[in-house]
Amino acid sequence: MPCNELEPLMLRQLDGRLTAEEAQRFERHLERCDDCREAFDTQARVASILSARPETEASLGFTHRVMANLETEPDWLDLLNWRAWTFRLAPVAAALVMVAALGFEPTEAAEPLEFSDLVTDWVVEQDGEVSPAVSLLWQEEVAEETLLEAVLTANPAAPF
Amino acid sequence: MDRAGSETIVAWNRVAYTAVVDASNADQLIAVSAPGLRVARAGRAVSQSPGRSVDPDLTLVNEATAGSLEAFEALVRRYQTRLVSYAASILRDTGEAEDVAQETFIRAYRSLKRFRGESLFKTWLYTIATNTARTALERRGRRERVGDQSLDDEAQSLGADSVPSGGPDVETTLMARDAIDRALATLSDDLRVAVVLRDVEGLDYKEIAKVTGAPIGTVESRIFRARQRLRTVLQPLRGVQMGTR
Repeated sequence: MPCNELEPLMLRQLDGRLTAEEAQRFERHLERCDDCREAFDTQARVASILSARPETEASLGFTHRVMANLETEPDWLDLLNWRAWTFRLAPVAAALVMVAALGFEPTEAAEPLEFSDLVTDWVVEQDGEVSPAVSLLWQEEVAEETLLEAVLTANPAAPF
Repeated sequence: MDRAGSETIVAWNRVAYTAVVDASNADQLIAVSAPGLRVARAGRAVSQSPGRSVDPDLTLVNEATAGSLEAFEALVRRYQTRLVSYAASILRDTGEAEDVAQETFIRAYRSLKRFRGESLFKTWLYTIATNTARTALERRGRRERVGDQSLDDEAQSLGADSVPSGGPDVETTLMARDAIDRALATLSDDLRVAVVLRDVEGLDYKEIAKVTGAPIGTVESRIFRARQRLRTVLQPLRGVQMGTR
């Protein structure tokens, strides 16, 4: 095996990712080739020293400074961000949207899904408890129209 | 009654959903599940499909995206040392490193909604940090007009006197770290970023390719060359005990 083919093998050997066969060929080449053995030695030693670099700690109050400097001016997108208050429902709503998106419910392209069609014979299992999908969704104080709109209009190709 | 179902994993909006389809009728969806949650057709029992979490930061990221500052603060605490440390090894200046880390978190916060989970949150964070560090390097380059330090200069200044010996006390640790960072400073930016991400930060080659936007082959070549070039400069550090990471 020519020396110039050894570079990727050296890198993989350091990661422990050589196949048994590759490892054999690798070892055999190193036995016969001083230059490559030296190069591999360098790779291993330098990697070892670098990996031992002690961490640079953040100074006291770093987190506080970051949080204090987060811009709070509202993104205009925030105003449309219904997810901010439907967060706890997001997994349930998302799962239901998945149902629609996977195309299992019969729909005509032009016809919007009836929300009740989507949820009435589905149940949600969470923490061992089973409840009808509708009642779980309605437990939260969520504006019905907004959640409905989100569920009906969410498109997996361009999610929320 | 258990109805046989075949499962498909669908990754969407950062979560791996498992969709279970009736094995005998592919048009019948039986259940959709995600970690900790299952939505199933009433009256049909389905064998549990274990939800698979793809990103350990997923919960916090979702909460932060939904507006929870506590969640974002938890992410900051989780990653602050890594980012400050990473920036310090790229920039060598600790003060600048903190500025870069802080700016990284702020940028991440502002573009959280645009994080789609195509990569781990950690990878995304390192991408922002790398770009921020590069900008800082460019700014510094314009200000100082620092030419490439010759390898010989650095090798000399890293001579035996300045290298600590003995056990890993605080001073030794700081000196060893500074020696490493000075050695890294002799590399070009591209080589330094690649080798630090691999050997110091422990990212794998695919992650580094994503973070740097370079093809994997280029990443491998940079790492190989960086280590070869660092050999002489780091020679005095062989066998030095450093503090814990």
